[in-house]
Amino acid sequence: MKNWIQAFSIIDFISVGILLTVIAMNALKRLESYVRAYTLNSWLLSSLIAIVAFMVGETHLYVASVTTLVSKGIVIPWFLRKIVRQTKVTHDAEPYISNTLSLTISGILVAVVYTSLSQGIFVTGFSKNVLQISIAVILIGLFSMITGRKAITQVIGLLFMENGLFLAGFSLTFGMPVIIELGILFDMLMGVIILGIFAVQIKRVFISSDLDKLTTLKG
Amino acid sequence: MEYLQFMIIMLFSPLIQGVIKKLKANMQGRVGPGIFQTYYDLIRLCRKDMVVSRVSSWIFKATPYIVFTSTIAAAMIVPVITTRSGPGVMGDFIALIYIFALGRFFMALAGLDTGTAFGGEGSSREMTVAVLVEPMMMLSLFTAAISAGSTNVARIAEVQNVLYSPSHVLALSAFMVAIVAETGRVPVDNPDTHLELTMIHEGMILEYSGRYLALMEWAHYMKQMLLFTVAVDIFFPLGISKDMEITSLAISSALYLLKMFFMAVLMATIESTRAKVRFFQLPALLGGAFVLAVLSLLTYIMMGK
Amino acid sequence: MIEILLIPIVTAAICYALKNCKVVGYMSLAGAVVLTGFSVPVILASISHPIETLGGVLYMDALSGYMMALVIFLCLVSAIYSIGYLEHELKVGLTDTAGMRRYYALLHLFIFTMLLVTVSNNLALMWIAVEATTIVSAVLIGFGFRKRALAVEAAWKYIILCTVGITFALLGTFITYYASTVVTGAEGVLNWTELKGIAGRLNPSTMKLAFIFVLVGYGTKAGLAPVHNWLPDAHSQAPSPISALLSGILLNTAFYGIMRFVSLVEPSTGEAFTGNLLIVFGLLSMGISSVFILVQDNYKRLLAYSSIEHMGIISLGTGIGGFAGIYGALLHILNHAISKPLMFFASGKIQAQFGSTRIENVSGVLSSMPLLGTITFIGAFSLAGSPPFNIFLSEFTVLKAGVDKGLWFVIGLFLVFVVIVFYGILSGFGKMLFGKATEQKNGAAGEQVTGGLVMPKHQESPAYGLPGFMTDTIMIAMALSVVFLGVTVPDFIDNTIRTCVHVLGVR
Repeated sequence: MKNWIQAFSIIDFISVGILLTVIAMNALKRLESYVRAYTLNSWLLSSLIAIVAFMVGETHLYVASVTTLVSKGIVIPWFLRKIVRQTKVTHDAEPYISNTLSLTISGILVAVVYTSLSQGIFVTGFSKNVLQISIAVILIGLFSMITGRKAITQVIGLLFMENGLFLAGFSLTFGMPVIIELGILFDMLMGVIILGIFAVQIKRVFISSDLDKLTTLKG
Repeated sequence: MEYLQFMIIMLFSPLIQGVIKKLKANMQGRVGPGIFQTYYDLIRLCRKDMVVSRVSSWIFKATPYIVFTSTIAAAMIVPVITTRSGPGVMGDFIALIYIFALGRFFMALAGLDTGTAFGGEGSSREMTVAVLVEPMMMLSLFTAAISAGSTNVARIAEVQNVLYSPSHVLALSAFMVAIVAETGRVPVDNPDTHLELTMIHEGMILEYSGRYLALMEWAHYMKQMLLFTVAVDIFFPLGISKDMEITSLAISSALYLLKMFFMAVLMATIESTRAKVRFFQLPALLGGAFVLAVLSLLTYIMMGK
Repeated sequence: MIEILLIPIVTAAICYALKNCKVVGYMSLAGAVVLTGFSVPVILASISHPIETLGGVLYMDALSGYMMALVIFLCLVSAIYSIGYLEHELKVGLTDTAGMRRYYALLHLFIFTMLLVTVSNNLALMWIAVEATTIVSAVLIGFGFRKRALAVEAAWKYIILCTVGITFALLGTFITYYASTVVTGAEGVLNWTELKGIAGRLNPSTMKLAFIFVLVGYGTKAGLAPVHNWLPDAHSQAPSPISALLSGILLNTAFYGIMRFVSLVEPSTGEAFTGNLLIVFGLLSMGISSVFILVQDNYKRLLAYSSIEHMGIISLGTGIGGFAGIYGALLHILNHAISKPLMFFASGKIQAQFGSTRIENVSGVLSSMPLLGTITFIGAFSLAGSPPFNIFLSEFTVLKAGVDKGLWFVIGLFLVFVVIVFYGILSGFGKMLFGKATEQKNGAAGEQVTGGLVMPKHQESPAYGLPGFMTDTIMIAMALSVVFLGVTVPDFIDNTIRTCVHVLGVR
């Protein structure tokens, strides 16, 4: 089984899949599609951890994989879908940058990350590719946060960033002690819940979910 | 003998088109035309009279022959069932893409030549699509070429058996989008319609009739089968024979038929499950596929496989 | 030590469970008093001899004890002030009983998370605690969001910017962990005590990268420019006692995290790298805040920008380094933690009285409310950095450290910015303090309206009686200590800070 995974470079496939789901976010317009892209991303992430756990043989990584799957793959998408329905916003229409341009910029970001980390500081086997991909995910998540117009888009961009960060940490450290991972996950969960509540409040108070309206406090 | 492979493409391309049409009809719940209907159509067209506009020039009359012969020349470049090449006849895929461009150039000119609005519209749209599609095709094929070490299609087909690495999968997806765009299928162009707002390829050949139309249509089917063959050669060259032995040729032909059928099914599925994209959204779709192609190259450079 | 962490949680639970709105405030105050009582002996013990519990996960040395003392002091003071503040809000109709219970519960939860930051040994645990402070304080900033639209905007910006920032800090933590695996060969270490032991052997370029991420990350939380943009909104829209807590101690706990990292990074990369970065950030913060202070028309935002300036001074002191630099920075943390909450409390009272946070709508505070006016006067002068008040002493120490090291350009810019801020703060508050008293604008327009939401009109002056008396007492006490600390630094504080400097590795 291990040779099969090695020969078919499944780990590389999954990491490229993770990168693709992040880039796909720039090509989509409907908020529910964003949530679906995020769900797929989280599932790929947890399967990657499970496969590495199988190859390396550490049991605590299995726990990490399952908790990631449950929290990021099931709970958070369910919550996000609830928020999207509550705010009754369906489209992130007219983002600040058109879809094609943001796709191009994402491609450029990926190229930049690949070239700058090629003679990297970190050379640890399979992790090198995964580290580059995780930094690219963080940057593209940050980019979509900047160019998104709705409150939910910022939340989803933030979640992608956290996924990328998790992947980066995983490739660097092969997983931290389980308690730490659980703590980080719990924090993130609470953060997303609070953000969701505030996103609904923004829609209620400012009548529109457009972040352009949040410009009263200046100077 | 190996340079007679292009005959296969010439003879079987209408059949492939017929199979795709039949599959599409079945998926859409219709009975549809028979699979040999395309042959009958071509023969019928050859027997009909031609109507040529008075304001057209020699370009209009020359284009069908140019397109047809250039497509045959392209067919000579691509290995169909064997990769053994005679004196340097099998060539680059860069040359292939440029031969297609030659054909496309003349088709666009012919569309403009007749002076109708539909022709001009089809030509300008075709050029827009071409600008976006050609680099995408080149990049995705480059990825495969880099890993095989040559841009000669035959050499690439010889080197690898089954290509299975992230960069190749990405390149394949980008190339599939390029095939859809080049063969004028939904979601890029609707091959069944003659509505003015939705024509690209049909717009350019709208004025043709009779023998000329037969040549243009046949060239179009040949180009389609050629692109399928290139995709299969570069990304799934399993089983292609490297010499002229009868047994390996037989196996190769059988596998080739199977792969063509698979491509036909794929095309029919894509056409039946997608809606045509508005022309103004085409750059977005093709741009996305271009990013895929770029990603495939980057992934290959980064990962080394 | 565990009891110190548990007490705020218990208080929070009790406050949330109580139904009677009159008792909730006093319950929270009782919890704060109990916390103070329990913590004083532990803090005093930790200063002389570090304490470790929970298998090395929690660790308290002099620096932790110092910060913890500040947290608990502010907890006590804010709890007292909150009683009066919330009673006023209840009367005016900006909140209800459920809101009050939530407020007190969240307040103590907030205190718990800050205490956790100060005692965590494990760097990842520290990160978790910092993220937790972000989340809890965001809900507190948005307190009363149903009636105040701008609070929602401020809370949103706060939580988004800070979460993005500390995401980078976590990446820095991971890189540090990776660097430690290279040295130890197998399992990496994340405990500060163990990392300090192997700090000299860590790879310099890896640690440089880690430090940059951590500085940007925790620097966002600490309000260093250019990642400070959430601060003016959040600190001006939050309720006054929460603003006091945020400015007074939350920024400092984030900077505490940076300080711990500096002591980890310095042995391998040398002082110059971290020092230069901190100096640059510090000067940038001071510069940007000084410009914005000059153009402010909202006094709470003015105070928020002043917080950025003072964090810049702290960063500058840490960056200049050496004994005097870090001593000055730590002393500045203490002084700022007394003066800024004092000013926020005063401004809260002014807002309640005059019904507006715009400077032009307030005047004659000294003549109409002499006690409050005098206290505001003292606080404003202290924040501006003039003698004989406490901030001047710590600024002077940082200045002296810079002169000792010969950083003339840095010192020159520092003085320019301090002078600009001096003018800005005093002109702003001067307009409010002096002059004829405007009529108590009890029915004034109040806050800016937005989105069709009209603010309720503020009514009669805040409560007298026990909450008012207690608030006045602590404010007088804080003002007196501002003056006292401006004249001399008492011995026990001096010894504590010296020990802290030694803990950070400076001889």
